[in-house]
Amino acid sequence: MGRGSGDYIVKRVAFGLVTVFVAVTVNFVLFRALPGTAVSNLSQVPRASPELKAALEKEFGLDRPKWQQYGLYLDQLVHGNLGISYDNQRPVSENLTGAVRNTVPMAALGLVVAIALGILVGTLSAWRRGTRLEHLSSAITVTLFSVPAQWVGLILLIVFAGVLPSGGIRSPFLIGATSWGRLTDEFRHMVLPSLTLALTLYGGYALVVRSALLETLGEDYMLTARAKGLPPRTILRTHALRNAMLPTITMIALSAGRIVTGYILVETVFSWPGVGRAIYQAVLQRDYPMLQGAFLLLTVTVVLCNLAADVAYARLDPRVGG
Amino acid sequence: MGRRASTRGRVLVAAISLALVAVACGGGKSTAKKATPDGTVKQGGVVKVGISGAPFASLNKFIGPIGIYPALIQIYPALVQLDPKSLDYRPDFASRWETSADGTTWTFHTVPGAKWSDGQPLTAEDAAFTFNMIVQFQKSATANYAFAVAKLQTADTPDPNTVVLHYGSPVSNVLAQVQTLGILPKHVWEPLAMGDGAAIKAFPNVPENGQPVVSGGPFMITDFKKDDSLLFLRNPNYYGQKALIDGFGVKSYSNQDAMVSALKSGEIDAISGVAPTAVDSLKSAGFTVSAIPGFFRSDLIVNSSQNKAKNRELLDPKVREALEYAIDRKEIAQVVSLGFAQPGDSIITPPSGKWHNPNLKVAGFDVTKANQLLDDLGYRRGADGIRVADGHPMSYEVILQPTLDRAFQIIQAGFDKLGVKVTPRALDGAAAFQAQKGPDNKYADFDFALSAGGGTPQFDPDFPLSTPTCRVLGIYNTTGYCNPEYDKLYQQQSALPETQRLQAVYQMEEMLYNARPVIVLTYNNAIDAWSNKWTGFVPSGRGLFGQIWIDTFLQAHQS
Repeated sequence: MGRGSGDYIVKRVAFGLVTVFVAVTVNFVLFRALPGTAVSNLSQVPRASPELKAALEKEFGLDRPKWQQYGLYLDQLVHGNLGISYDNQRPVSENLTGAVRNTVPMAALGLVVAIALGILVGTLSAWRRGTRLEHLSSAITVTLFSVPAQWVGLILLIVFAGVLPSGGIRSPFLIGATSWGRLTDEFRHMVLPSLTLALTLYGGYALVVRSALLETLGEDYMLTARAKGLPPRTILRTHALRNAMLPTITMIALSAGRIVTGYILVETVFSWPGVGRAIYQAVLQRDYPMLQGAFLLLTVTVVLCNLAADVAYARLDPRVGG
Repeated sequence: MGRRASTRGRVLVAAISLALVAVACGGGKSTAKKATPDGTVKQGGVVKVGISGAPFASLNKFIGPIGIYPALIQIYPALVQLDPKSLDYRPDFASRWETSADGTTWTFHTVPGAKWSDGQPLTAEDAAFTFNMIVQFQKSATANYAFAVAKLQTADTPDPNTVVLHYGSPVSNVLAQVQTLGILPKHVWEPLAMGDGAAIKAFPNVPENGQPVVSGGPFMITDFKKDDSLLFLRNPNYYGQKALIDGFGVKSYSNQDAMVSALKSGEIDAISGVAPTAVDSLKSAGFTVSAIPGFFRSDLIVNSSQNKAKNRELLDPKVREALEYAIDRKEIAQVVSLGFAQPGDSIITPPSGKWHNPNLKVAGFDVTKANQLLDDLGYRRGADGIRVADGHPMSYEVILQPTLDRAFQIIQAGFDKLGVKVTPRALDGAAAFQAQKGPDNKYADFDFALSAGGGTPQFDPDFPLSTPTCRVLGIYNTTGYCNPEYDKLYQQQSALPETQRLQAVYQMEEMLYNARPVIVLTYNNAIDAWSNKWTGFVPSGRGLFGQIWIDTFLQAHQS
């Protein structure tokens, strides 16, 4: 990469930083614009009291003016502190780390399978265009792409009832189990949510790969490659797939962000205590610090993934970034 | 070389895949079983319980809402416990107690020789420390238990087996309060009760390094996964009757279908909070289904604030009476809860036993009478069929919390026959309360709200009776009702001996019944189900994993 590419990347990084700052401010305003507060929620619980309401308002700093709350929030952020969750009084970073740790393996497994399956099916569909195989795979792909993830999840739950666990991240009932026993238990719990993700996501990749590949296969240089007598596999791998990868990389980069930010519907169907459910719970509780932390994580992840896609683009296509 | 490597790679992938499939489809580890010598009761085993929703955020009792309370009553001893049979308080960590003549001093004699799960002595000093700590920090760290130490000044211990509670004035529900105040281990919490008490709330109170949370109740919490699961094992040092099971685990499900499926497939043994729609399929699959009167209500809240700016005809008791006659509660119970609910009258639910006023009767569904009442008030129908009150159409908005849309439709159909139009406004819990109380706690704007959140959190009626008082306007008063006469009665009942208190409570229930700040629609059943491999559960009106008493799992055993 030359100087032009370097400037391009610096610009993208600067743009990313501005995006994060804007998101931080918007997050602060947005959640406070929601009607109701964490205190109104918590002070309504059975056996509440006026003392509880006053204590919580003071403790959460909600008795201060909004601008002071914003200043405090920025100050905490600069010092790497995401604040304390109203829900369980633990640091937001600790809560988020726990939720991310739960989400990442399940989402990553599902996504890797989806990408691999998507590229494979997309390539086969384009390469065998017009055959029964293409018709069949396209029909399955479009169907799975269209149905909601929660529906696929519920069907899998019914089909695999009694064979695989129906919810949660692990069995709480394993007493005295070995490390291997716990590992296998966690993997068994991961199978259905990951499979749901894989089945509902692979269609998107397959359709993009198919379309990009069909476009590439119609190019003149493909005719030249064939005319040179190159073996079909070489044509596909070296000339067609490489050129068809650009849009796929964008999709993968965008999806990669979801590994961290979670899939709320799948997490709900499978009672998976991940980031998606944590965000949903935080919205219901009006847990501002948790929401701000989660959305900051979401913003930073998306910005980083886009940055990675930009860099990959610059490497794959010298025209990008000059 | 490359080809061989590729072949080896494929073999490896295939082997890993096979291993993963084997692992994925393998079964779990079974628990050991043992029988008593007479062979009638099989002891041991771990009951696996699924609950719907209610994620576990923290095991620290001073944090957040009461979701975790049912877990804590299993591990922290209380001076007294509620007895499921007599519905009265029975000795527990206190074997007996007496009260001074003026009712301000309560002396409890505790069980000698008791121990915490870590072997440390469990004495009256732990009880006194817990109560004093809550009193000391009731305006900050321990504020969520302030309700339970109302009027308590101090607790002292003349000897290690006696704790004396000194109240500023007589308190009628001391036993209910001390049942709620689970006793904490002084040796764990005393170092935290310093300064402003911030360390009290910062304490995670979770099992660490293989050690359970220090427990004194029948069970110990040995494993905790936030928002996912809890594991309880029998506490070998418990001073009372030991549980027959080795323990029980609780797993939280965010999806009711998945929970039911887990029960049917044998993944779990029991479920709490079963949806009425699942009852038939569970029964036909051979599971025991328990549907008992619950502590939960669904209500139609009517804005009762004198600050109400518009539609002030709704403040008229006659209008409210007419509206109540146009509500078909039986249909709501039948359609919304599939019959697992009963039409309601008082805000104190029937499982509260003697506290539920038996003299109140559910108003029947009588549209003719309802129309007559509105006709008598002179509210005639306009050209569009909507009645006109004080120059404006009787057209109102109903704030609607999730899950009650079907109940709203039934109410809407009834009101329609009355010439009263209602439109829904769906909001989540926090937004609904904000809309009800308004920006300045004036309760000026809303007309009606449908709520499924009503109910009695404990056997004692104090909390539900406190909800319509002026003192908690803008805090948890959802109706805007503020009546000095009612408030005076509320203050009086909190200091009366039980018989007189009962009469005061009945009077308050009647006042609310007639004023209708809340039109109680239904009392909803607590529905639980379990496998026939287990028996002996004592479910409460708050479900299998409820919070009313500790007996639910104490008598449970294998069939």
